[in-house]
Amino acid sequence: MAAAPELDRHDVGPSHPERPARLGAALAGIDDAGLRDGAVVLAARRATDEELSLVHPLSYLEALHAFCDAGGGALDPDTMAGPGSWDTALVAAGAALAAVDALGRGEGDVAFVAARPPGHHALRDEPMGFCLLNNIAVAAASLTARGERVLIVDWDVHHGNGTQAIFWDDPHVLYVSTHQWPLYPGTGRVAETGGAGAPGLTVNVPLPPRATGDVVLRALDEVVAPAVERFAPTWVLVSAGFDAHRADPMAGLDLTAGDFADIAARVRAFAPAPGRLALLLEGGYDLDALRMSVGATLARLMGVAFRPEAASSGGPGADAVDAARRVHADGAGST
Amino acid sequence: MSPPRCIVVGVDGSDCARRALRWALDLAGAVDAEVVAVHALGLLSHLAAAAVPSEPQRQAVARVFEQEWCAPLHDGDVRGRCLLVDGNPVTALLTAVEEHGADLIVVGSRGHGGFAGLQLGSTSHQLVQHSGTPVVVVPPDEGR
Repeated sequence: MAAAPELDRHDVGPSHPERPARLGAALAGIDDAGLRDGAVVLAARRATDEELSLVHPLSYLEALHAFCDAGGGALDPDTMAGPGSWDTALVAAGAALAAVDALGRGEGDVAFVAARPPGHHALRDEPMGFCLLNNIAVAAASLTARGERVLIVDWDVHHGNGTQAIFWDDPHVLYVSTHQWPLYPGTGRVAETGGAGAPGLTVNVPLPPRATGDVVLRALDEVVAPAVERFAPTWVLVSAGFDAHRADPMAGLDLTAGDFADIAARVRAFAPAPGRLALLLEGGYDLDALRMSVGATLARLMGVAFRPEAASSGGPGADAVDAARRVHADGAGST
Repeated sequence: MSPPRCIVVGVDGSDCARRALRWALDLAGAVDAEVVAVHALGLLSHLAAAAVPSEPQRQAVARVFEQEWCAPLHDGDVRGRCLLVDGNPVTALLTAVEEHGADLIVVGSRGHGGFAGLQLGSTSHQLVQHSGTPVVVVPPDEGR
């Protein structure tokens, strides 16, 4: 577990939903589930320019750094930065790198990165959707630079447009997203299946409002699993947003803490071996839901009985899964 | 140079957007152009009514957008339409230009931007940097 709440200085005001208290809720969930004794807490570190520049051009990093140092402000209608945001963003990206490195050294079976701001909307040269640096893309790029093949599963309720765009043409990354549709950021249609350099290596399953956990599991079993088998990843990274929870104020899916646990178990099966699975916190804005969901998810991955909410079922979305399955049948992808 | 045939205008309920829409409608009326009013639903757009599923919230925003913010569009003789999309304003406006074959973008200026840097900044600043279509930025009223 890589966490650095004491280094969290990205605070853009009490009314903004992406707030420091989210980290406290996530860590409280770990305590609720009784997982502290089985976890190793990693020291977070700051990502370096060299590591970040695998994803973000130096000109962007310099501009963002200068903007924060000058006092910050609104980067777009949703995304704010303050004087402490640059340093915190470096720690969030660095925590992801530290987690992957620790797993690579055999120091654990699964890593959870409790850091913010989130990252999956950040483009190479543009902040977006509460995100400044694309943490999961930085971690994935560090792995592909060493010759690894990385599966990214993004179960945040919003489509990870930044991550998709960054790896659109990269044959070493399979990007999979389940998300509500229509919803911000407006990308993630089922027909978006990857660029010419990576046909079929972007898998989008857009789900209607009120979709439940059984629908997500079906998508993983029927659409994602065959794509993963073809791709044969050597690592699995997860954009673990918990805003698909039914209590979240930002969206309208109907998942529960129990669903996230079941989804995490399915995703763990995609990893080729223990020690090749890292989850990075993305969204999740209802603090109680975040707390329960993080606890249930990690408990399931650590073999601990903690399930504060039962799984959900019976919601809409079967048609959306069928549509995605047709698009990706036999690896047809974007052909 | 020929007059514009289709004008995309950014609308978000603010005073500056209202001025931009008025300016676009005046021009469209003079040259018989169509106006496409665009509003981008950002992340925070979905937060106004906590714990309410986003679909009713989306419908509520759509009603306000079409009936109130775009009211001037329905009052006159100018051909126009309202377009509600998800995402960032800049991307939404540039996509609308492409999809509708527009030849002019009109936005309001709040008189301040987030950042006068290279890639970052206000909607109008980013549009001027990234648009291949002429952009008109309607300035604040400031009592004139």
